[in-house]
Amino acid sequence: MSMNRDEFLSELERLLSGLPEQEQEEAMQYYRDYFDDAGPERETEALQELGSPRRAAAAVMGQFEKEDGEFTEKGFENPRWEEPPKEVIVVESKEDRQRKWIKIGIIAFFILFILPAILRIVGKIFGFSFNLALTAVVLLIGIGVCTAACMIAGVAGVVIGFFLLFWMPMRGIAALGIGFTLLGVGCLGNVLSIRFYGKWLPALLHAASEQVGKLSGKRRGGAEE
Amino acid sequence: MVFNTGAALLDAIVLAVVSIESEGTYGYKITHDVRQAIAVSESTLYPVLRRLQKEECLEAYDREFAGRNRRYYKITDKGRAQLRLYREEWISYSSKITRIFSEVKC
Repeated sequence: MSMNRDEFLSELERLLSGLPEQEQEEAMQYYRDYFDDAGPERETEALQELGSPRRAAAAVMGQFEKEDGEFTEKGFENPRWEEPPKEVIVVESKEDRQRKWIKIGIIAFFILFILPAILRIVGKIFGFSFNLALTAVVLLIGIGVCTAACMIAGVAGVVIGFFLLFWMPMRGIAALGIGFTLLGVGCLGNVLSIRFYGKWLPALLHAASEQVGKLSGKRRGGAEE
Repeated sequence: MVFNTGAALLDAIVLAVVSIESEGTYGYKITHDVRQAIAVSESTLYPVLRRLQKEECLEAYDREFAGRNRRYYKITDKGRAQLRLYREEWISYSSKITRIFSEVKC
């Protein structure tokens, strides 16, 4: 910006001409002081700190537009500033957040639509048709469902078996045996489920998301070239 | 800085910076003192000073300096009361945050 102190001040004065005289004078006094105190040797620095006259004027006038609330409720935010205020640094920018959601969307889309399609194609190529996809889905849900079923049936078997002992001891023992067997299978299933849902599945999803990330990264890189 | 400074905290910092100078202080110095703590642009500070002035937390007066009139700001009794409130709030707020962070193990 090749503007000097006098140009800045006269432009600011022009921009503030709509304000009551006293407010104009207050602001002009302040900014004149600022340049005087910075001194000629730091004039460029001061100009940089102040930004453009438009921005300074917007800040001065911001306090008269309470409904915008720039300097009261919302802190420094002022949508009317052409330049973004320097002091507002958000850890996660809006763009980042958007990108994250887009990524999640892509992954969800991939898992829901693309993955079965790919599996189907791959399955067809290898002559499995979409049995492979079906197997994957069944495996995905099946492990949990089977484990839960085994546990429930096991508990039921043990309880029923225990009461049957008093009625028909032989059948009771048989029911108890079946119940305990099912419980055992359920416990094994539990261990498998914890591994499967807790470790393998997240690892699989993570790998998939990384793959997607790489792909989209490549695509972005390609578009720039 | 990764953390935002809200309007109340900015008011508190400005009041504190002005209150330290018993003889009053001026815009350029206030800006630079506030910048010791937070990154804030000059155009943000004028409206804050003006508003604090209108709320009678600060009073402005002109004093001769190097052959010109310089605008000085001084904290009022009302401003001092407000600053005490801000200070208490800040101490309780920041100590709570500090306590949480002190339990972090990493």
